[in-house]
Amino acid sequence: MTLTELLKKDFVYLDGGFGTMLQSLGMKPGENPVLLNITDPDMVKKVISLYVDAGSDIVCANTFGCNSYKLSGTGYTPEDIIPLALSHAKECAGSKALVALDVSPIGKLCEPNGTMTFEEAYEYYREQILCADESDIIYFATQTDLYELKAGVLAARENCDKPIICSMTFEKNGRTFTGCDPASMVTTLEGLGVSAIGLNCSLGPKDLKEVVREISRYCSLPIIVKPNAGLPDPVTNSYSISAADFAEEMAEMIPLGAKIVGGCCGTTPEYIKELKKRFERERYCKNSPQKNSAVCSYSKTVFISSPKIIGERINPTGKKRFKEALLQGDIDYILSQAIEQASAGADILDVNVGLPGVDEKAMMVKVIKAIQSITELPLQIDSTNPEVLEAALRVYNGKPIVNSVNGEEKSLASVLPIVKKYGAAVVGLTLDENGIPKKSHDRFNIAKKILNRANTLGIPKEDIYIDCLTLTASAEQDGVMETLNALKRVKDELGLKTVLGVSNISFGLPNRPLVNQNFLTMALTHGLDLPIINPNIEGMSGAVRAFNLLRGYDKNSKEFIAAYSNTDTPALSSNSNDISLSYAVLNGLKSEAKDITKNMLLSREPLDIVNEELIPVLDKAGEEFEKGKIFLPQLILAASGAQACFEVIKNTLSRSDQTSVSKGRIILATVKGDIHDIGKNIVKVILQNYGYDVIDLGKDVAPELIVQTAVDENIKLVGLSALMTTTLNAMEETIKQLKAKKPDTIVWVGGAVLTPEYAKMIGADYYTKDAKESVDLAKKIFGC
Amino acid sequence: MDLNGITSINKREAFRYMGFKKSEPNERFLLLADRCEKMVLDAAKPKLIFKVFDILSRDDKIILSNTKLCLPGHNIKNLLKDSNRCCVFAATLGVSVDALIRRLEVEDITLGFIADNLASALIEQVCDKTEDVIKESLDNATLTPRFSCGYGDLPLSLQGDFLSALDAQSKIGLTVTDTLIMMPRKSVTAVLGIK
Repeated sequence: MTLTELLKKDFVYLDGGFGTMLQSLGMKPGENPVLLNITDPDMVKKVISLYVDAGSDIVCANTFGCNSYKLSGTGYTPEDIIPLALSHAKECAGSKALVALDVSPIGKLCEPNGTMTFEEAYEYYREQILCADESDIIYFATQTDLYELKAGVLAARENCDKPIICSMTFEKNGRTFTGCDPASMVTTLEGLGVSAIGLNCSLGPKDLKEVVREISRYCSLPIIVKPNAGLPDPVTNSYSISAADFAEEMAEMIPLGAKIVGGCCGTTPEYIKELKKRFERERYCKNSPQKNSAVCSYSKTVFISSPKIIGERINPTGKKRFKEALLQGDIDYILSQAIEQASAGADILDVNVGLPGVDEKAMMVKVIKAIQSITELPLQIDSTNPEVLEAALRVYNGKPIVNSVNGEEKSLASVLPIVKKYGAAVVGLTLDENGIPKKSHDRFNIAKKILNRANTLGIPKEDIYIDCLTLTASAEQDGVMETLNALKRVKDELGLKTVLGVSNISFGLPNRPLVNQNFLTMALTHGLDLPIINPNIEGMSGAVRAFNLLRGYDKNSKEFIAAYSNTDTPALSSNSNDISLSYAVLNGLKSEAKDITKNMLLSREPLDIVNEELIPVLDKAGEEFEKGKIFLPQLILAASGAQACFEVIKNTLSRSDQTSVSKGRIILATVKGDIHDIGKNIVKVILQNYGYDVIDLGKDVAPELIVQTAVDENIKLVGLSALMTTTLNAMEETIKQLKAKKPDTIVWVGGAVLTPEYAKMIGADYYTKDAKESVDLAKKIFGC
Repeated sequence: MDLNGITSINKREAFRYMGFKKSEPNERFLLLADRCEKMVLDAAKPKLIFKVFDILSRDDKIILSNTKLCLPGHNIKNLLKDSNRCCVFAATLGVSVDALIRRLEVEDITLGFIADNLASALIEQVCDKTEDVIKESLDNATLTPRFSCGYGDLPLSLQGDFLSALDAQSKIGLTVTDTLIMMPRKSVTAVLGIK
């Protein structure tokens, strides 16, 4: 028997609660259930046999939580337990049931919410999968983090050929603890090629009904429903729903497409018997969701049912400041571009980090991880290099768009298979070995070729977005309508979504914004779904909003009104004409500070502004802070204001190729094991205000990385932060390694648990108690 | 648990955490704090879990029924001296608050700083609320003040045992790192004596 054969039945029955059954059979509180496979195999077999007898078609082996993280300290490894647990389960199941490897979350939070990296999560899962030869199914259960689950599914797909089924655990609000919603779960997992998707644990059936309904709206795979027997009483620990009521409530899931059913905490073999009895009176109602074009992050799905904006700003082409940021590894600047576009109304962000002198693959992975940690907008991965695309597709948390494949054989052969493997959507450029065809007819044919090739690989047409390519109107005026006509045909005749970079149209012409905006509207009326634009230009995002309103996509003009009514934003700014730079900086009035700086730049040198205006203001704030006249919050506020001025000055400098402001380069990091980084970030901003270049290595940083960076970049001054007594060892270790490998490094430390004495003891050269002292130290070291 | 009943954050407390000492935050700061307050309240998805245990013995350390968790030290012994039962709870604002603070830190360090401190004040309010919920479920029994590991002589290294005793990872998504930092960040575990 296989899962595929089982799925031919109306319903497939899973087992019920495992942990709660072991408890009722005498497992002691605090005992690790998976160790019972060794210490009390009879108890384990009893639970499984009871479920087999109750009619479960699939039983879980007692492997939930059997990963090397959760086993640490027990003296056992997954290899010691998993094969044994599977053989116990096999022995009980015989030919009556299939045996699933029950795979739990690892037990620590994955980045960006926690310290476990995606790659580490993959390794923990891989280790379990490699022991699971005897299982029939890999079942990822009780998962709450889509990212961790993706690591697990990839580990299973790449290390065995067994069917994979997944169920996540949702709260009453329809989200998992890490914010994943049913649409994003389904959109991501269907693409990764699993066999069934659903939910388990957390609540009783009634409370999860709406979540199941939501899953069934999007999911074309069999749906798993495995809830608890209600909620446990915090005093008596007993669950609230009887077996008969459970079965009755579960029956309400049938019209929603429930197919693979069972129980979780608090349910027993009796519940499975009742469930089966009740379900045998019914037939399976296959869910038939609408076929959507959709992409998603871990928490937000964007349905391309009306035009959506792809923000183009994360791209170094033609942007000196962006190039500079890439070369210096200034991730904060890149993130600020993401945030700015998100607040301007972008629905999806294009990410391109290709630049000579930059390791594109490493940078892409770093940037994708950083961007998805601060925005929930889905991303479009933009590279010409398939290796870069694959690396990005692996670490992306959701279903992204790949930008792009084209009609060239080489491109089709290298890009489409990875699009399929990771379940992404893909942009197809209508060009091939012969370049961009002049005529719309030929571009249409390339689109068709891309569609056919994608189809043969099993990529659905909903996931193919065709770019008919914008040529510049000044050079090829006739080409404008060729592009639009091709777009219309692709949309009407092939039924594919369309995407188009818009800004290129006006290259070489005066009043580019006017041309861009009109071309955008023309393209939208020809059927453009995904304009790639600069959303920060109001005329562009506004044109899309207005189109959606006029075309009737924006029902009751809701989004349009929300974007322009602006009633509930409190006025944070005052008129920048009548305030001084000092006032703007000290009050953190960023846009005023920017305006004043821009005005000053008309008549003064950038560096003069820094030295004669900005730094005196900061010095004054620092002095008052030292004297206790102002406090940390005001100092930070001033730092924010100064940061805004600095950004303007940096932009000016990089445009005019002038020397940078840098007075010295400094590494900052929160040490390994510590994740408190707000203090370090405050120090960073203030150091930057004074004109120091800060290489921010982030939080939870391994000593080796700090040392390597100091050596590679020849850094003189390194600042380390720690806030926990438990992470001071890591600080000491980092200093030791730094001093050994680069003895001339000066190390200073800070953080709540440190004292000057302790700093000395662990070998630091300096201790600073706050950001102000850190600046004083930098001045002393660099002499300016 | 939703934020039922908590419609504002105790900003005075948050300002104290921020380091305002003698001075009052100015109007500009108050405006930013209002903006952040709204964002923090929107992002917070408070969850709590608690369990009641009988105190079985209190010789060397406090031994509880139905759990591996035991509580060493004088402070806890003193706290529980009039109790036959105690309640262990965990509360968290969830990862979405961490995500908000992460984003704000990049957008504007001041906003990140304010939101971070507001969230710290909010989790305390959630704990107060949790105590009310516990009290109610125990027929209004009298409770001692809450006490957390890391306070006094109750070792921080018990954090993992606290979470396991409550099955806090699967019930409310709360974990602890090897270096004993709770994730999500804005979380509290504590024990209360029941008199």
